[in-house]
Amino acid sequence: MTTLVIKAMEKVLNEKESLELITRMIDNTRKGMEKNAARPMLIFGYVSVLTALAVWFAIRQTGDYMYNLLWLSIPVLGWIIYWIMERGKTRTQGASQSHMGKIITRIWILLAVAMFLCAAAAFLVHPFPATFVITLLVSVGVSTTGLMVLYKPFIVCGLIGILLSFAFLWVDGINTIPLIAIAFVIIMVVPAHILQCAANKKLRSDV
Amino acid sequence: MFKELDPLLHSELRLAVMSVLISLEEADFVYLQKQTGASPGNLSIQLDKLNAAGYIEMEKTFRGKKPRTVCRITPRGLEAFRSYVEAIKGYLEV
Repeated sequence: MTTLVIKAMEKVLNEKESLELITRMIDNTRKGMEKNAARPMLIFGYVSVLTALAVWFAIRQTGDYMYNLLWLSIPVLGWIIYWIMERGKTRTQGASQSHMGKIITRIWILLAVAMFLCAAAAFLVHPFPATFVITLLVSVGVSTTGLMVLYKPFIVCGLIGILLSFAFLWVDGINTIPLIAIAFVIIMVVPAHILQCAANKKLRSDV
Repeated sequence: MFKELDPLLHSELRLAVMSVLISLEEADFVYLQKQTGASPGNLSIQLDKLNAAGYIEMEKTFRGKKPRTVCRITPRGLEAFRSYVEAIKGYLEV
């Protein structure tokens, strides 16, 4: 085996060590990405569930359907919480962006714009099946993410969400809202927790 | 006949940096430092060498008031890394 000395003060590697180093660094980078991948889904999932419950509670108590405007707080609250958490992480751990992560972010931005337009249309056009369309869009987003990263829980939960979204064509009134909360638990919170647990387990097993 | 190993990549820290960047679109200085465990001074020197060789590109920006260096692998760096791995495999007969 040949060994090259590049320069004094630089650690000399042989071929086996080089290959091991490449494997280790790529593996560590991948594990780091997996560990953080669940975070946006967890944040937006919980914010959506809590908002749904807040809207349901407010309308039940007051009978005022203007509380539906609270739905618009999901992207605002979600992004603020995500930004605060990411900022803290970036300061200590640095920032990175994978090729796949960039594409997935773009897909979710596109879906978020479509969802926002649907929510706006629901206030202007009656009747408008906003819950059906929004749940369908989120489910398609989760499934697409799963298909891109080849992660089964995302694909399965997204597909369940797609089927569930059609139920909103038949359910009407205030009772739709707790069903939306349940749907978001199934579509976003459950697969994100599965991913989080799997990533943490993998990291622990390496320690 | 064994292929000659690229001396620029046959160093622990530079190879570690390239291995991290190969899986990513971009990474900042702090991230590379955490991943490689290198000191800021040493990492800075090695990044400059990779940048001078055209293997990576460095973008100096600001996050708030703090300076931030973002690194990306270039097509030339990608090709050099691919050749290096092929050469290593040849040595090890993988």
